[in-house]
Amino acid sequence: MRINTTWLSVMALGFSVMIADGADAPSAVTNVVVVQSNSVSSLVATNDAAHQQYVHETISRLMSLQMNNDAASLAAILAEMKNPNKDIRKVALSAVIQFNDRSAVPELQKIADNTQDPFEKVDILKAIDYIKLPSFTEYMAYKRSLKQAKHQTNGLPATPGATTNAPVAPAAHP
Amino acid sequence: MKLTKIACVALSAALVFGTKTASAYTIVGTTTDYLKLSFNLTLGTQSPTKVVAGNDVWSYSNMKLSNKDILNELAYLAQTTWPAGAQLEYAFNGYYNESVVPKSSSIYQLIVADSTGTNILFFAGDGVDVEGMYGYFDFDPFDVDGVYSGHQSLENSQGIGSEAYTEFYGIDFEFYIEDYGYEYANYEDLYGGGTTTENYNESWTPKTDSGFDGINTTLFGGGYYQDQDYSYITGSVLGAEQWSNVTPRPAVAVRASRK
Repeated sequence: MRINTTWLSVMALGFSVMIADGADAPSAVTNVVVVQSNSVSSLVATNDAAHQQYVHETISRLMSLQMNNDAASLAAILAEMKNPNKDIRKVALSAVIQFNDRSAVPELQKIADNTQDPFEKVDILKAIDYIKLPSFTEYMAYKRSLKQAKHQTNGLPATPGATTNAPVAPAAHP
Repeated sequence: MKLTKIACVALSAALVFGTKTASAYTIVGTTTDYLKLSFNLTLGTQSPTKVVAGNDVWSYSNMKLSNKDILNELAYLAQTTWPAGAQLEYAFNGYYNESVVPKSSSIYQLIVADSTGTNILFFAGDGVDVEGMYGYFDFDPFDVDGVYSGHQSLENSQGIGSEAYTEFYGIDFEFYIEDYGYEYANYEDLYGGGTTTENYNESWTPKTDSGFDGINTTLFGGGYYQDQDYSYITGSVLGAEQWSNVTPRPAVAVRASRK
């Protein structure tokens, strides 16, 4: 449910941004022109367009940050968990999950403790549970280390590692 | 002014040089039309039976399987490491770099892309078939056509139009790795199905094209990995593509109309 609600918000956001940027809707440039003819209503439109642009850019930035592995990126994502915009907070939570670092748990717990919205609080607590799970990578690394140790004990060479991602000629598959 | 020009030239040269030196990875293809994917999966495995006070107690344990885990497994399969910011995408058009990959067709499949999103580092659907290693990650969120609702407006005389629809699909996936170099050092085969809901919105003029394409895939299945014969995999995969171009829209952009 958490993922679905996050997704729906992103979808809704994307749709609203699309409308804001679309050909049939006033563009940012058009809004500036409109401001000169009607200062009150178009000022709101300009602010709205600027806000949508801000939201869109923040979400794009979060989606990039989530694939990094450095502490600064995680801190930047966690900072957006306190953003007043609910859509951004939801995407930030999704980004924390993808960042996949248990060091985020204490800060997430603090945020959950300070969150008044019960649904949002549950989403954060579910995310904490997920982040706390052992990862597939950790499990596989453990299993491979066991097998590697077994081979070395038997006097077999270590598994060779390639240094490029360039494809090599296919070999006959047994 | 002259100094400014010199500075600009120096900066440009530095950028070009920096780009070339930073690109230590082989670009095996390119894509311009793709969904950024977020995998949020949970893999359940059966734990050994415990005997408590003479009674058998059964239990299972869960582990998470998200983008970085999948990227790590694909790196293991390709026997490489990915650059920072590498991401998983579903490419609607994946063009091979024919100087690296001797293929010419465009193909829909799961890919690993660099941080730009357009440079393909690995065709996960094609996978690897080399001495000692065989595997692939076939992920097709549009495997079986379902039903759809929506509309496509007729282009008016000014060339302005729009299209929006929601469509449902059946999916197919299999993540297979067989490292048979050292007494079957690794064997994974996770597979299954699920459903995809796609929401597509696009509007265009002769000079602009903007839109949003998103999928929400519910995935379930099972299979084998390492010594675990019993496993259950479930979760969701989200995908998103958003564009706002000032050039005429590409023909590939309209998908429902191809039906």
